[in-house]
Amino acid sequence: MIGIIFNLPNLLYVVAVAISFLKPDYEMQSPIAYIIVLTLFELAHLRSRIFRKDDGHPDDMYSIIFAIAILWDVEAKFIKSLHYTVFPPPENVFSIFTQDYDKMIQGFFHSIGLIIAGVGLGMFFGVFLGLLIGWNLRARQSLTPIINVIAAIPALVYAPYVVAVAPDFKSASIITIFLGIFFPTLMNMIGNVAAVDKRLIDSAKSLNLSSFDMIFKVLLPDCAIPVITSLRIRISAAFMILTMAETIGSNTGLGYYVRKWSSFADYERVFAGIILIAVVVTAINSLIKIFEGHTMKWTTA
Amino acid sequence: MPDIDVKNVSFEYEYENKKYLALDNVSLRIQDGEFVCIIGQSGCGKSTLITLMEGLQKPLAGQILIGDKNVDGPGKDRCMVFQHYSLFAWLTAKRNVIFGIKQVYPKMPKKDLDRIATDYLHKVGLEGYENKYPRQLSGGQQQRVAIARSLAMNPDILLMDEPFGAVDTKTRTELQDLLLDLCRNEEKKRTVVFITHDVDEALYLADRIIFMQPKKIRRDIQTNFGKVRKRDELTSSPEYQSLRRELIGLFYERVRDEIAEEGVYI
Ligand SMILES: Nc1ncnc2c1ncn2[C@@H]1O[C@H](COP(=O)(O)OP(=O)(O)OP(=O)(O)O)[C@@H](O)[C@H]1O
Ligand SMILES: [Mg+2]
Repeated sequence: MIGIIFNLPNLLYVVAVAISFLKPDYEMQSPIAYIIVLTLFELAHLRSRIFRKDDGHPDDMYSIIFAIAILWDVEAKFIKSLHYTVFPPPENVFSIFTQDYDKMIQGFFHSIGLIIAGVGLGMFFGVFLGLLIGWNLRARQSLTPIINVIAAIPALVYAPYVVAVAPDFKSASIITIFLGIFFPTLMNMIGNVAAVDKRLIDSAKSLNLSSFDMIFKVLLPDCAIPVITSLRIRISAAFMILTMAETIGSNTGLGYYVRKWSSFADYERVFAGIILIAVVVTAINSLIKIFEGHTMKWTTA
Repeated sequence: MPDIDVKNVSFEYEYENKKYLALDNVSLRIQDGEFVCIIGQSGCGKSTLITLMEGLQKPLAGQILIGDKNVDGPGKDRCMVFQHYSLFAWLTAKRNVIFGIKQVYPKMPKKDLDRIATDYLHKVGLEGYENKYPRQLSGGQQQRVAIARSLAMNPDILLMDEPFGAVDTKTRTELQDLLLDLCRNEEKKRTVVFITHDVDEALYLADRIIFMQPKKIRRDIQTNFGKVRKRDELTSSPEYQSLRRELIGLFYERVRDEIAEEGVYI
């Protein structure tokens, strides 16, 4: 019981909250939002203490989180190696969420729609064509070098071109994300199929599978793990591409938000936007992980 | 039902631009309904020969006929149990068996599929393991699922590459009897080609034993023990003992030859 109250993360939490009330020598926003965030972390910490089911070292992790918060706060308010407008205190950054939440929610839905469309299409066609090309030796050998070259071009390089040429921003973003996801997925998928254990293929062949069954009931599930694992990387990549595209040709979206306010030198909003994107990407990754756990029972079982 | 006719078959493996002749002009005719065991030392080409019969590889020279049809790929009349485990990791034991049955009987209703799969899994002693994934099974258990799958597919010709290699002695005995049961006593007679390292296993199972030396068939022995066998009576019979001595002699002779070829002195 005593261990639940007296421990390093709790101590650091109290210190962080105390410091948030101290006033610097400039005008500061209300610390309420910041304290709420700290408290959410504290609740998560208490939960891990009480239920003790998290593996790893949750105490260390929460100590580090609170320590970073304290350092950030102290630096921005009192040490001030950077001016507070350039490196704003967490109180100001988090209070942005209470002011701008409507724009943020709108931006979130705008961006997430484009990402789902682009990544979905890119993954679907990449996996599908990858299976077909990977399975056909001649197609694989003749196309692989070409696809490798195309896949090596970062989508960011041609994003401005697509944005300029496409009829509207929506299609431009989807096309760019699609291309940026499709080619790497295709390349990996061809490699995955080529690397499927020959013994598995032999045993499948000896069951007299049709080509359709061979591709979709044997190769696809056998390659499913790397595909789902790569989904997380692909979504981060899609966010990068989208942010880039949004900075060129959009007037809404999460990337646009960050870009716009950094050109106005409103770094509080820039920080808030970056944190929001991090939260969104992390949330998506957790969703993928849950999905992975459901479909991939047989690998961990 | 047709015979398997291996006619002057040679086979070469190619790797890193080197060639290795694994079979050299092998001929063998297996009668319909015969239970043939192939034995011989490791690396002599047993697996190679059986994969050619299955149609997973094509002979370099010669041909393999089943009846009067040339083998050019796996067929519904044949089913192979591999030396290595060959289950689909993403399907449970039962679903693996069902997957196999479905390839042969695509229209079979779900209920029957389920019943037959469960039935065969019980026959190979895997009661209670129906819903486990291959990862959760031991090597021998996985191999038994593979055996259940090929038996459930009810093929005319069963090709088995050291199927009982990873199974303990007791289960092995049971599986041998199950296999004999399914191949002899049921209405449908099957042709079985069965690779093993174990002389006693070969003698107990086979109507005919093919002894291979590298690349070639060395001896072709008819066992003549009759169809119905009692293990104890059989193993103590003088015919069994003399055949056993002969086969073991062949194994050692090979070893002696090799040592002589390599110029090693003992
Ligand atoms: N994929 C391959 N590439 C090159 N050489 C191979 C390949 N597979 C087998 N060989 C060679 O062909 C020969 C025969 O192999 P095979 O697998 O038929 O032997 P085996 O009689 O089944 O042996 P074991 O009893 O150990 O299973 C061996 O000398 C082996 O080295
Ligand atoms: Mg072998």
